[in-house]
Amino acid sequence: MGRFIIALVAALWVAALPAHSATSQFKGLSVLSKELSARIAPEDGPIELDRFMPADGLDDLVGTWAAFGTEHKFQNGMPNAVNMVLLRLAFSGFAQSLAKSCKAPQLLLNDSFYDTLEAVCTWPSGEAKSEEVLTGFWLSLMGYDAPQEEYAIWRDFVLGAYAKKTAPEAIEAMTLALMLNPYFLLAQ
Amino acid sequence: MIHSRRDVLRFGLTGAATLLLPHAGLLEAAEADALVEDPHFFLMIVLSGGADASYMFDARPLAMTAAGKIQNYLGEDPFPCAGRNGITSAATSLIKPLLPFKDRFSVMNGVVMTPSFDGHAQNMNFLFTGDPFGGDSFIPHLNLAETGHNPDAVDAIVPADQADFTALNHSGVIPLEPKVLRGLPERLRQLPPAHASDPLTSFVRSRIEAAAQGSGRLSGGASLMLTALDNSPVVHRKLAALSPSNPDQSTEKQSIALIAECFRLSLSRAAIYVLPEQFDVHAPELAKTQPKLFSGAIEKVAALLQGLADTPYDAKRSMFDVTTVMLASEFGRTMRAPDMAIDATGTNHNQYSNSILMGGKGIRGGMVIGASDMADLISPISKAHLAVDPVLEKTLGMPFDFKTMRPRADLPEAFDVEDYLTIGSVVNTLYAVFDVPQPHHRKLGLDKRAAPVLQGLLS
Repeated sequence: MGRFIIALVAALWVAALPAHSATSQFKGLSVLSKELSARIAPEDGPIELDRFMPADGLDDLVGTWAAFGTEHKFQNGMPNAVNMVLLRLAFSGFAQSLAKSCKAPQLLLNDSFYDTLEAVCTWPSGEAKSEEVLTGFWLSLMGYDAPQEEYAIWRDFVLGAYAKKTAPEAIEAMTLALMLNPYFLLAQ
Repeated sequence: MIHSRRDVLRFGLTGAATLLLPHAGLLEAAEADALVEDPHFFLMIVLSGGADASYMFDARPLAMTAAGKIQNYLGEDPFPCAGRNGITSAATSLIKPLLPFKDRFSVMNGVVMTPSFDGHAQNMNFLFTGDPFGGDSFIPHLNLAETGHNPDAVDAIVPADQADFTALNHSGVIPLEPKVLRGLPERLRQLPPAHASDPLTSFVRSRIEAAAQGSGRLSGGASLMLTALDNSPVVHRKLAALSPSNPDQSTEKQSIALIAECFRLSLSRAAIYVLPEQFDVHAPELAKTQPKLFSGAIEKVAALLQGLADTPYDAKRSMFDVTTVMLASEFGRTMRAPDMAIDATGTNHNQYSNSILMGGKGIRGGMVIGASDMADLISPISKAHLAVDPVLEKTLGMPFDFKTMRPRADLPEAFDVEDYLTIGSVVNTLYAVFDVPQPHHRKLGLDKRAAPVLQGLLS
């Protein structure tokens, strides 16, 4: 009987939660920047994705923490058409910077990722398309946040649609395709 | 702004609207067509922190201050503000900047919020969602296809700093301040919108769609992402068509310009403007600043309304003509705080009596609806009041007759929300103006009927 009452109370509590509490929100540029920095940037040169936003304050529109007195809450993280436009805009800028880094470094990158990028910069060579290089690129940006099959689908897409493209075109598309993936963007 | 007949003939409706939008050429034909649809928008102006209506349209005589009942840091007796429906409210001189608009909006006094809670978040939630713990805001309901209008791209924009505003986090309510337009439209014009025929967009969409299959939190977020991605090309083009704000203009003028453009472009059905003033004046030193606080806030409200009146929607109508406007706070305030001198007291929260202004399209203006009790030293006090506020620090809405739209003179024995003008009725009236279907209307309680629409307020 006791267990039943606890289960009932728990069920009622869950049912009473606002709808958005059952929905993942965007992590926000601050968290994404930290995650990317840990994966691809040197310790003293973090990635700051907000620099790819065209105006101050826009990074707040894609998910941010706000304080009111002693209360802290995450806001603007619910996916909507405006923050999708803004994320695509910012990530396009980041992806272009990464692609341009083949010729001249545009971002501070750690040695491990720099080696991977250097190999991808030889696209459409066989080395750039190797499993080792593509896995390295994927894991460097995505980490282990996505299921294995997401990697395989992404790999097949870039090897198909971008097989004969130039390195900058391929890198830009590879980066955007990965960064606009829900497993990269959404808090789990 | 008045447009000549020759202007109308020369440009036509769409032409004139396009004339007002320098980058409207970026829009596709169907998007531009939205400009000539029967337009109807909503502007909500929020007074944060719980504004004391006794400094606006529900004032009390100085005799009550002399008797130690209610603080009054303005130090003036109110003047009678007569509604065209024969009801008079007591108003302060602070509201004078709003008098040029008095025929365009009506005042609702004695509006009961959530009887069970007196916290900011709970009452702000209740104002927007009808639930003290949050849920679906009423604002997106105004943009439903069920209303008979084509839904605008987003439900609402919030064109002012909203860091402490609790009614966000709905996926269709988007903070969009004028300052962010410096740089954004230009950059968006350089980037083609995500297009379904583009292999990369198509791939991204397929991954979002795959992640949306399921019932977990991530699937819920991915599902919203999918809708967002599908709507993003239209929003992209509309954001790219916005003009940069003019930093030399006042914040209100910049905001109205942004709101007007968002409305004209059908980018947004509604706007929520949160005034920067904080009305939560528990401390005496804060309470004493209320005349200045209200003066600043009311000037801004007047500037917003004037901006709506001065800004053309098209060649024939101003933005005010096509916009329903509401001004509200999450609750009112107590008349005084306990154990403090009447000339050095702060005030606390009062969810039993709020004042709300509503006007613009669909609303009959110039009326005073509802009233709060304890209007003077001799007003009788009901047992219902004593039950919810035994120390008599809070005013309570008067019982309300929904048929005659007048306060009732009877004194209820017990508090029953059905006797009172509630925020549910205010929202349902707004729903009626926007043709939001009955199933969305707010109820007076879980097992109660829908809150009555204020029919007399509809024009």
